[in-house]
Amino acid sequence: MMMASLIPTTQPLNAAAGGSAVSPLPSALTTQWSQSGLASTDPISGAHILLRALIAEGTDSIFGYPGGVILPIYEALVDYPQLKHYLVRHEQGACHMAEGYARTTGKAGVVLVTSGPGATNIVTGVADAYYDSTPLVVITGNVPTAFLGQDAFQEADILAITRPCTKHNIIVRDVSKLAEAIKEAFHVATTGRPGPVVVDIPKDIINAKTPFDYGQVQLDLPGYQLSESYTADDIDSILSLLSQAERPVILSGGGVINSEASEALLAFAERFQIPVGLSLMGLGGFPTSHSLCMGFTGMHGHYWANIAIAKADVLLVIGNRLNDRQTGNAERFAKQAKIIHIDLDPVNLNKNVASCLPVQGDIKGVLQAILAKSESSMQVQAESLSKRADWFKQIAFWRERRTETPRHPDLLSPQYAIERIFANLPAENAYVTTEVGQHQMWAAQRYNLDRPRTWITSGGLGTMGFGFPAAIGIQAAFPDACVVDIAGDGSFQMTLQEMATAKEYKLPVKVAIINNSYLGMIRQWQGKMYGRESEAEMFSPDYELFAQSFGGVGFTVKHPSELDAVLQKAFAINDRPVIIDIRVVEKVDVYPWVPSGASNEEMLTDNA
Amino acid sequence: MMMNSATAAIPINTTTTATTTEPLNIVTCTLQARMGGLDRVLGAVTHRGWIPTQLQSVLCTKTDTLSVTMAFHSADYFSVQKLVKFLEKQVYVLSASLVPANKPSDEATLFTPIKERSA
Repeated sequence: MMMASLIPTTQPLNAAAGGSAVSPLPSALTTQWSQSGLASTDPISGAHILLRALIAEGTDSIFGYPGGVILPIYEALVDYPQLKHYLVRHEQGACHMAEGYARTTGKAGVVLVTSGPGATNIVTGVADAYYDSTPLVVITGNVPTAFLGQDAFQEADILAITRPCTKHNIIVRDVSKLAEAIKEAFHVATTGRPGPVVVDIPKDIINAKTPFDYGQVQLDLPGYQLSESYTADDIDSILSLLSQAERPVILSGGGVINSEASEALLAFAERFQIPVGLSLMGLGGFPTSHSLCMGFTGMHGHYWANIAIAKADVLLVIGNRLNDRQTGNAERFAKQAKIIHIDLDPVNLNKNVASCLPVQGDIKGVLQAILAKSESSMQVQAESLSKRADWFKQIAFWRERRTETPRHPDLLSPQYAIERIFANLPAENAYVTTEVGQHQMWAAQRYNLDRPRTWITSGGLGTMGFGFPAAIGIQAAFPDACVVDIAGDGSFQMTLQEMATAKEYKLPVKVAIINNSYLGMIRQWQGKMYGRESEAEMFSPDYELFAQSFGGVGFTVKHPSELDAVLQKAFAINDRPVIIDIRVVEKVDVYPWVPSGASNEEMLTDNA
Repeated sequence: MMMNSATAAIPINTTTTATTTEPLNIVTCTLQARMGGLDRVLGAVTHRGWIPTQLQSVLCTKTDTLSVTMAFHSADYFSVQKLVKFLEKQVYVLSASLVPANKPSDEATLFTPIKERSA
């Protein structure tokens, strides 16, 4: 099947017109194909090697933008209809689309851009993927090797530029090494802690020819060991600490989702009866409807969840790097707890907060090992329940002090708008992305989906403009899903040109703009820290007309009574992008809030 | 590869005048001699605000590996340990370690004399 689909079935137009000057395609008549359909004993160009290698790695979608040095790749792309290409409107958008695709499918997202500005435009997206452990393979063209370092037209040292924000990057200087570079890129991007890999290919390598047999390509990465260092003693120590714990808490992060460990975490939490708090990246890793779920934690996390962590005697940090937004003042984070930190990346252990038991290994494997070694499920669960009755009562008491959603008959609060968005999502096959800012925090507080990989936000880098293109990437992967980007008016204006991409490919992404005419988080912080505002108020276009001008559908909501009906109508549209402009009360602050430098216990729960 | 055209070894030394009394740290690192590998090692050090007082990279053409030795002053031993862990996980890095160094003479003995550059 693969062989048949790979053989070019039609003569390329330029070949019929006398042949391509840049990249003559292999003829189906003269090329010898191996049984796998991936090999050619006749030399083929780097462009064809790249595209066949992508297919061999299971790629079905490419998010890209053509340019001078990668014209041979785009010329060859016509021969591979199994590679669906999405023509973006800015290379940053391509990266975020690939991120959305990758984080919901678990596969590597693939980006293809040209040299110079095409390459430099990817940096924000690549950095975003790096900080959120997202597997991307980003192909950049570059000027011919002889021109490198000559300040040639559209030359950029993208290897140097992306070095600190990639898991790995490679420049290919020999076409015979191209297939190896692609295999290396996918292997590194998708194994261990996932991350972005940039492969830079100069134009002469794209055009050069060599025989190709992907099945024979060997990786040469002796230093890249996917090792685990935890021992049976570590498992015993965890069980011992849990058996003594009276106030245990699990803090679950994005590593649980990357490790496909959600089911194991659910079994673990239920067996030992431990309440679970979720980081921003960890939302979805544990069902929010579960009685043990405490929801969102950290700077704008729920009061009861943050207090439970602060008062815990044993804290299991699982797949979370404990950054400053999570811990507040790190020196005062969970001071009463013995911290067990489980993470695949050894660098994360003891990095920001010292733990008494660092456990380095695959999270799913570690949790399964604990479950396998613990006593029978029913016995442990019964003992744990009886031991922790007071703890659960205490958490329930703290839970009563939650921040309520403001309701008003005439005023549309942003919190209420977001609550209704979640309430109107279909029960199945829904995905939520966000931009960055106040709306993101309100959405994290109200996230109510139970499946992993349904909450896609920019956690580490905090990239405004992430959510809309990410939603397009998700919709490309799941055409029948309801994909909603909860946006702010400031964030949406950063990547709104991708409306054209969504329209062109009939991707019915829904953008719900929580429009308060401000950079809300900036206004909030300025007010609290400096007592006055500066450059926080922001003009917006008429989003309803904007959507229509792109061939999409636009709605404007100004009153609470209109909201549900519009959301239901918008979510039912399945052939065009939709923008819902929700005009909310302008000056509302996000609470709870842990001020900078304070501990999580010192969070402010209201504006008093 | 460009680096493979070298003779037996290319020692590259940089020497700066130490203006600090902070403890000396010496980090050694062995990595595959592939493009970009050395950049990541050096970038990891300078990003953390340390300028090596001595730095040496030696190519072994037999094993196609680079042996990098760096000396820099920092009292933040915790951060130095984190640097070593970060270096260890770089894709082309085969090993990284922190060499205990308590005396200035230790620094001198670890580096190839700079006069060998002309060899």
